[in-house]
Amino acid sequence: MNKQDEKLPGAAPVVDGKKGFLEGKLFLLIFAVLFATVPLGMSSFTQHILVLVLFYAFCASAWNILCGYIGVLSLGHSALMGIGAYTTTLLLVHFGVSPWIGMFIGAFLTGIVGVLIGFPCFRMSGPYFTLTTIAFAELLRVYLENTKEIFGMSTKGASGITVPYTGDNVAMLSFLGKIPFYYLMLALLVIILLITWGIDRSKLGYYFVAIRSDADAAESLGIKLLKYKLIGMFISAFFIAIAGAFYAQFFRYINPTRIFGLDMSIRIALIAVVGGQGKIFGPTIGAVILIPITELLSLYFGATLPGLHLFIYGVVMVLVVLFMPKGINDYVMRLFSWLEGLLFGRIRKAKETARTNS
Amino acid sequence: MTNILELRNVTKQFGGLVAVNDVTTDIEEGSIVGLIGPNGAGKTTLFNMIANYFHPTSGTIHYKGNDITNVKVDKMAKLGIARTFQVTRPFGDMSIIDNIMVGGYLGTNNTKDVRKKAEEIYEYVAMTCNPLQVASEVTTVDRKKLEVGRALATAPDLLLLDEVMAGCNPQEKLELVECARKIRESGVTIIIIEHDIKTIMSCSDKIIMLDRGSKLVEGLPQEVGNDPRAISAYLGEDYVHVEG
Ligand SMILES: Nc1ncnc2c1ncn2[C@@H]1O[C@H](COP(=O)(O)OP(=O)(O)O)[C@@H](O)[C@H]1O
Ligand SMILES: [Mg+2]
Repeated sequence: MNKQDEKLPGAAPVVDGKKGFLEGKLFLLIFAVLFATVPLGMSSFTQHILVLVLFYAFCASAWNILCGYIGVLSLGHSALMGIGAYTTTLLLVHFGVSPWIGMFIGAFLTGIVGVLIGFPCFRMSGPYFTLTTIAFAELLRVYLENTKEIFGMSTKGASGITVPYTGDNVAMLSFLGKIPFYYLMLALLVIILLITWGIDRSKLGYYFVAIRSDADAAESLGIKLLKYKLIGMFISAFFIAIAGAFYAQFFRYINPTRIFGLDMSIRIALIAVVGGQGKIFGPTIGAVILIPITELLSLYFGATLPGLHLFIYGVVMVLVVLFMPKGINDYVMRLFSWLEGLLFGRIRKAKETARTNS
Repeated sequence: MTNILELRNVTKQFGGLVAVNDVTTDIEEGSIVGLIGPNGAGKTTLFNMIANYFHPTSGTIHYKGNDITNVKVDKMAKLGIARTFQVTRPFGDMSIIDNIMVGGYLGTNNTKDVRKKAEEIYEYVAMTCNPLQVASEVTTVDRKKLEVGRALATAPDLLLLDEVMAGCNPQEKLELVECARKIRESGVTIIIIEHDIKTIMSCSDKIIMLDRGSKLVEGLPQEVGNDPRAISAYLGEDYVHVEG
C-alpha cells in the first residue's frame, strides 16, 4: 500500500486529481464513446443542440483557463469571441481568406487585444475588474452596432453580416450538414481539454491556482502576478476567438448584439461556474447539463416567455452557489470514483475467489 | 564574517503611528538571529520591509551589498530572501506537496524535479500529515511547517520566520528549533521572531529586541538576558531567576 492510499480515520480529505492511475479513466471512456457516437442517426435539430453543447463546453473551457484557474471573473469574454468572429468573417468576405486561416489570424489578434486590455484591467481587483470587462464588451457592441465599416470593410452595423455559403467545402470550413461541425467542435474541445490538462499539471497551473488561493503568498514565492494573468488572458482570448470563428461558420450569420452581448458572456461564465471552475472537466459538465435545458426551454417557451432562460440561469446559479460551491464536477467525479471502486472492487474480489478456489 | 543584511535608520510610519523607528543593525551571514519584543513592537513590520512587502518611510536596506530598499516584492525570492507569514497563508485548495511545489518552481519548469524536491522538503521539515492532504485542513504545527517548507523550496539565502513556533507545544517547538538548526547548517541565514524567550535564547547567535518600534538592545543571548532595559521592558524579573 502506498502512502496516498492510507486514510487515517478522521483524516481530512485528500486532494482529488492526484490519485491512482485508473481513477477518472472510466469517466473519460464513457464520455469519449458517448461524444463520438451520439449524433449519428439523430434528427437535425438534436444534432444542432449537440453541436451547441460542444461549442459552449469549448467556450467555457477557454474562459476557465483564465477565470477559473486564476480566479478573476470576466464578463466580457463575448467581446473577445466577437473579435474572433468578425476578423474571420471580414477576411473571408472581403479577401476570400479561408476561415481555417482567418481563424488563427483572429485568434492571435484577439490574444493581443486581450493582453492590451489586461494591462489596465488586472490592476483592478474583484468587482472593479468584472465591471471593466463588461464595460469593454458593451463599448465594442455599441460601437459595432453604430458603425457601417471598419478599416474600409463593410460591417453593416446592427444588422450584422451574413457569411457567404461556399457549398460543402472542407477547405473553406463550410458544410451542408451538422455532423462535420459536430466532429470539428469535438476535436476542438478535445484540444482545449488536453491543453487545460497540460496547464493543470505544469508550472503554469500551479502558479495560476496559487494566485487564485492567495496572491500575496504567491508573490512572496516570486510569482509575477501580472505576467501570469496576462499569459492566462492570452491563452483564453486565443481560444475564445476560435470559438467565434466557428460560430460564424456554423450559424453563417453574426451581429453585434448576439455575439458581443452580455447574455453570451454570462452564459459562458455560468456554465463554467455551475460545472466547476478551475477543474479540467468542469465547463464540459456544465455545458452538458445547462445547454440542452436552455435550448429546449427557449424552443417551447421562447415565444410566450422570452427571457425565461435568464430566469433559469439565475435560479441554477443560486442553487449551485448555495449547495455545491465547488460545482457539479465535484459530485460527478465522486460518483464516478465510487462506481469505479464498486466495479474494480468486484473484479478484485472475483479474482481472489478464483484464486482461492483453484 | 560578512554581513548578509544591513539596515540603516529604517523607519516605517502608518499615518501618525511610527511602527518601526530608526532601526540600524547588521545580520551576519550564516547566523540565526532572534527578533523579540512585546506585541506591536514592530517585528512583523520590520520583516515586511526586508521582504519588500511594503517599503520603509525612510532609511535603507542592503542585502549582499546591494540596495534592496525599494525592490518589488515578487523579485525577493529570486534574490534569495524568503519569508513566512505570522498568520499562516497556505494555498487552501492545494495539497501540502503542491503548496511546496509552488515555491520550488522558482527558476525552473521541470515538474518532475520540483515534485522530487518538494517531497524531500516535506521530509526535511518533518511534517506529520499526509502529503496529499488539503493544506487548509491540517493542524497548526503542520501549517507552520508548511510555511517554512514552502519558503525553503525557493532555495533562499536569508529566511525570515515570523512566529513559526507560536501555538506549538514544547515538543513541537523543539522540532522546529532542530529544523532551523539544520537549515542554518546548510548555509542559510535565519531571522526568527519568537515570544518563547527560553527557546529563542537557546538557538540564536544574536538577539535583537524591539520596543515600541525602536531597537532597545542587541547582543549575545546572555547579554540581552541580563540587560536591565530588556528585563524591565519585556523579559521581566522572573527571567533572570530562571536563568540563574
Ligand atoms: N499595514 C498596517 N497598517 C497600519 N498599521 C499597521 C500595519 N501593520 C502594522 N501596523 C501597526 O504597527 C505596529 C507594529 O505592528 P507589528 O509589526 O505587527 O508588531 P509585532 O509583529 O511586533 O507584534 C502595530 O501598532 C500595528 O497596529
Ligand atoms: Mg508580528
